[in-house]
Amino acid sequence: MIFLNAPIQQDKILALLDDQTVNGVHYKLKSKDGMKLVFTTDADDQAAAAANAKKAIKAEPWGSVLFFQAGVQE
Amino acid sequence: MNALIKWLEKYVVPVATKIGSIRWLVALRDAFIATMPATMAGSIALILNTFVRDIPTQFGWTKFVENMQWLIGINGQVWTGTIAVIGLIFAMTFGYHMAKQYGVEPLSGGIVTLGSFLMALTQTANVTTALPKAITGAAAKTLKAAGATLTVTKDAATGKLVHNLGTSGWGFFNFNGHFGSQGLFTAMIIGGVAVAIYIFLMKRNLTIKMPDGVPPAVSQAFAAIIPASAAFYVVGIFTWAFTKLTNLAFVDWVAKVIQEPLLHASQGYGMVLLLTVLVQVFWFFGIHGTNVLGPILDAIWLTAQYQNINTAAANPGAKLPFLWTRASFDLYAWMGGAGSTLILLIAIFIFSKRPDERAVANLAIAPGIFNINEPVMFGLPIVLNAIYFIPFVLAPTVMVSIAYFAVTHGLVAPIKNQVVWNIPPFINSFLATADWRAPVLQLVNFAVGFVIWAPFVIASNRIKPDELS
Repeated sequence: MIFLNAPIQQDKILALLDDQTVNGVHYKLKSKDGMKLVFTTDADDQAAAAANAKKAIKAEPWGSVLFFQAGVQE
Repeated sequence: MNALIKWLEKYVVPVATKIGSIRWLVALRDAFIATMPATMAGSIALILNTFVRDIPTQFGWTKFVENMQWLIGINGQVWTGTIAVIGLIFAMTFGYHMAKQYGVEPLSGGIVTLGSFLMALTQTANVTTALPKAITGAAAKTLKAAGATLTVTKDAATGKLVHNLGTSGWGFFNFNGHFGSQGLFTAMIIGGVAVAIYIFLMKRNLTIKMPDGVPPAVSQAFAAIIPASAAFYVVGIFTWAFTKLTNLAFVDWVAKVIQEPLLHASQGYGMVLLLTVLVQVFWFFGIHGTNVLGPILDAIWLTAQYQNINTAAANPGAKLPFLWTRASFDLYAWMGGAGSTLILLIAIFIFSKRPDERAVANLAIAPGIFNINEPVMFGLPIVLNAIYFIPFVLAPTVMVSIAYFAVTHGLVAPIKNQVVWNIPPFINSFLATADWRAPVLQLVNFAVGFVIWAPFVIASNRIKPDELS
């Protein structure tokens, strides 16, 4: 599982990742609590999946200006 | 809070996104970042010279400085090839990143801006020497044939006639001036125009197309020939005509009319304060403050910083042209990262009894010392945490004000060395200024910041963690 701490643009992040396959990794929203979004993924390497999600968001025009955190959910 | 987020998403984020997606602004920011290998190597050289030349000279240790001349010389060489020619290096990186942003062959973009930049500089050196007596006859004829001029002027003080020999030579660039920070705005303007022409023609496919079997490096270079030539000719015609009409090199005009007034405007308290507050507010609401405002921060305050660095390197002890530069924000307003969150962590260790806050502080203190505050920004959290909004904006605002007036009143020296942003507080200010009073100023700011942060940490202990989100 991975988490994203994203205070704004959560709708767009969900549209980009939830139930979507991005660069070969499938993401599914598990929970949403305040600014924290938790996703399950089918990746073997969760740290790489978090980095992949961050990269995908940063690649979006609306995502390049966001300040957010991506990491592995323990 | 949800209503505020919705409002932000509707009105503020689109503006920030718009700024963040202007491709030439992104290229500008990335071009400054790309100069980092050169600027850091140059900074190391200048910091080393601070320790083996400037500080020992202050204490009169002349013998030590004499013995260190070999190292001072090597450092001088490194500076010459790096920060001393930052305008030249930037001219290349700017064109590269512009072309990259617009998806055309980037290396040729860099070549276009570099060549165009050189066209905008003075290229000839003129030297006039007073002669002890007139040169006449065959000698005068030979000198004139070689391009020298022989003139007679009247000495204003004595009224006597003076015979002068004038010589000029092509290929003499103003190395210390135009190749350095003085050339940065010219590189942005003339390089920007040139690479825009190059990109426009590349996008219109006005290119020479090679057969499929030709290696990519060859076909890409051939494809760039027509767009690059057109860009070079437009700039060539413009700079030639400009110099003919004004008797000025374009770089001198830009420096006088655009760069210097803009840089001096940046030295006002209002500008410094506005930037600090904007960055803080952006960070708080989850917008990458220094990323969005990076092009302004770098183009203006980093240019000013390079002018300081090159002035100090070329003339140790000389008065520095700018009091407030890019690193001033990092040193005095953003200790431990935006919001001076290192101070918050110390306040948590002292006042907070909340296990969740102390756990975050334990995790965040090590990166915080190196000015990385992502763990505390999201771990505590500070982002969108109403209780911490006031100190997060107020502490840097007050700290930047104290530092601004301390520097502008001559209590602390301005920045003369480039330092990497993740060097810990107190060390970074001494390295950047070579002035022991700079860490003292940081200590004062630290204390003031602590007084601002502490009551809010205490207040947060009266609130349950789940009430904060």
